[in-house]
Amino acid sequence: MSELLQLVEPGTTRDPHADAQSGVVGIDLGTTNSLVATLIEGTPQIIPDLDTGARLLPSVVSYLEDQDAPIVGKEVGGTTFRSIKRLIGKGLDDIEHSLPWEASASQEGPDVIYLQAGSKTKTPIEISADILKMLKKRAEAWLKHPVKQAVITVPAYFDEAARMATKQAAHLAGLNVLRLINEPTAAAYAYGLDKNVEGVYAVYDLGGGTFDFSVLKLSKGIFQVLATSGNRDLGGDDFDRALADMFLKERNRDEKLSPSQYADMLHAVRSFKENLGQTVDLRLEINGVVSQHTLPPAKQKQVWSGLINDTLTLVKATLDDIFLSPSDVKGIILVGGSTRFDILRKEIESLFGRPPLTDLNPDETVALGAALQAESLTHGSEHLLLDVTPLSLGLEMMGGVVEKIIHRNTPLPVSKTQEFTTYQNNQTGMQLHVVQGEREFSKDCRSLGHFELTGIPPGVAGSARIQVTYSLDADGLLTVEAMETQTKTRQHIHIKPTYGLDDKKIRHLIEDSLIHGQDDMKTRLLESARLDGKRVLQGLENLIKNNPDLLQDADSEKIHEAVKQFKDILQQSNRDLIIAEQKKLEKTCHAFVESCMNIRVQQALDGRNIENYKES
Amino acid sequence: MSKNPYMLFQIPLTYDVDKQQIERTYFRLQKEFHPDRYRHVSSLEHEAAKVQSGHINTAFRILNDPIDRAKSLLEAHQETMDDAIEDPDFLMDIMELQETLEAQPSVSFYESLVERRQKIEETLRTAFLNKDLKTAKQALLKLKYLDNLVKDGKKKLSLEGDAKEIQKDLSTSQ
Repeated sequence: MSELLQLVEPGTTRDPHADAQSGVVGIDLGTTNSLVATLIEGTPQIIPDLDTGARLLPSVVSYLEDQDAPIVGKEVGGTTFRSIKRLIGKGLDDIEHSLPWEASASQEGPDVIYLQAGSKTKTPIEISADILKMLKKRAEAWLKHPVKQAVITVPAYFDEAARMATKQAAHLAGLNVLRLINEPTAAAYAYGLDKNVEGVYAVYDLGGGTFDFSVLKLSKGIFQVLATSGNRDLGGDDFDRALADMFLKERNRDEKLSPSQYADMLHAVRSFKENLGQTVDLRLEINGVVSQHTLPPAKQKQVWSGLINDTLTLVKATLDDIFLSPSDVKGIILVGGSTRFDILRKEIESLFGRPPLTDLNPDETVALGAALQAESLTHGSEHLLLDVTPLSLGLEMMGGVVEKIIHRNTPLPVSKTQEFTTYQNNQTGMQLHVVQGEREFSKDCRSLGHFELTGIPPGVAGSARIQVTYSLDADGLLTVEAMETQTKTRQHIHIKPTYGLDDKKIRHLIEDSLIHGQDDMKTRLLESARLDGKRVLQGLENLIKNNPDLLQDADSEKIHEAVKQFKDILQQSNRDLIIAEQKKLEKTCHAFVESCMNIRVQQALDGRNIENYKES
Repeated sequence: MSKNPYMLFQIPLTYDVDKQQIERTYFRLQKEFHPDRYRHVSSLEHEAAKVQSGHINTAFRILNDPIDRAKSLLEAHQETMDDAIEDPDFLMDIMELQETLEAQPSVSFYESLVERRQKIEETLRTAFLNKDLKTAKQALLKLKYLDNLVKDGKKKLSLEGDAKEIQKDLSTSQ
């Protein structure tokens, strides 16, 4: 980084050749294809392969038995890996479709798997690194100088494990990641600068393996992301799979395909899908049995409308979140090879009331935007990208409930402080569990880290004031600080994700929170009623213990009975009953509590230290 | 402590604000203070910009949110928000509304909530215009309740809409 430290006024124009010399690139590391781009005399351009002139690099890596170096970009035998992006940052349990490769749990951590390539063992991180190395080589050959820094794009909805894994892959490839930016944001950046447009634009990004939707406001050199959402497990691959499964049904044979046969079939189906404009007929040959298939538009709709609707439901929810309607959107930018189908474009048109924009190459826009951002971060620019955090960040409360501190779609950087208190008497420490996600309970969110604040002065429950501050910078790095306000005891951590959350849970984070919102709310309300009840119970038990002489014989039995009964009720899952019984308990014990309080006041007036009269 | 958003954005101390002007100021300030503009300058300034830019983001959010804006407007007038609602009937009303929302949410009921919310906001607006801060405080307390009800109502209605859609999807796929 030190080589970049040069004093330039913010916003000043730089030497037009500076970028070419510093070797900064933008990389779109895609599920199906990858690209590298850089700024040439102020204009972002895709860097082609020096020999072949190819602009796309298929994200395909083959490992041969007799050769150490992998072959990237084409299938040459040996073991070939495709769509590896779908596996990055995932553990074995998170993978929903059977893989055509031998996979096993790794020793690297729960979010990395081992894949067998003949006698070699590879992780998705290493395979991604090989793609990045190839892109780096391509750029260096073309630019004729070393390339060391890059902005790499990721799906907006990539979770922390996937982002971390992508950074590690870049590191392995010898690239310093200036920043990971969200693919739809990169696309809008490139589009906005190229067309010089203003207003609200949406990016519909359906890649090979992921779906992202973002809404941006473009205004005088500012690219303000208003909202972003997505599904990291919905992409063109799923369209292929739906189609392949339908064709298998049409063959009407009870055939069992091996994983590699199925992979071959998917491959055939994909090229058929990509050429739907030319032909709607497909001939399949599996195990020597030939079948003929046809896919007219009506049938396309039948097989894909479920998947398309899944994306449009998310689109509507995202717009709704920021109080916009589809008609407020001035243009819909399409990104990703999977947005080429006519039926998808028609559905988008009918939702927004206008046809999507098709004047930019959906394969290249993202890499161009990444190159622009790389330039901006190293040399400064007249343009500014204001991005948001795609997922909420919160703190686990008693009962496992999450208190959101930074909400999703909050502009970066941001720093937010919230005050919390102790739950028990004489509590001197506090465990803080930082989580990411939209759900109500921490077990359904991604755990990012734990830390402990100690040195809280002892006192009654609820008397301490603990300020917890979450700071999220423009690079998405989170710092959490907790401070006890009386003694100014501080504790802070830079959050590095503690891997291990079940990705299946993250997968439909937002959709789930939409669907399960009501259940969550009910459980949450029950938990809070229980917590209240427990507090009352605990307070009461302490009073009983410390004031045995105040309990008159007649009362004693009644109160003990009421306490016992209430304990049983707390075990039940009936919120209304808990609340009603708590009121009853309070009423029963009212006189006793009052006399305890009278004593306490008296003692305080007498100058006795209340601490000596501790409740516990 | 961050500056009062009204001071930071240098806008008149009124409840109604010019959103377009605020957005222009927001963009202008971010163009100046966003840390990305200092990343290539020096780490010291980069750090300082991070803090400033965060304040600007927070202030922008507050000024665009009716409740937080009213709160910071009161703060700008050196008023604190530690009052309680002086109208016990209001709290009873809220509880009833909550129950109705829980038991039988409907579009027309939701619309009536929106209308009530608007009425209270109008009281708040008038109170600020008349510099009647005491009334403004009470109206703001009430607005918070109604605002939550409206939000809950919206969530409930959209949840039910989704549930219906899911049901529909299931029935067509069979």
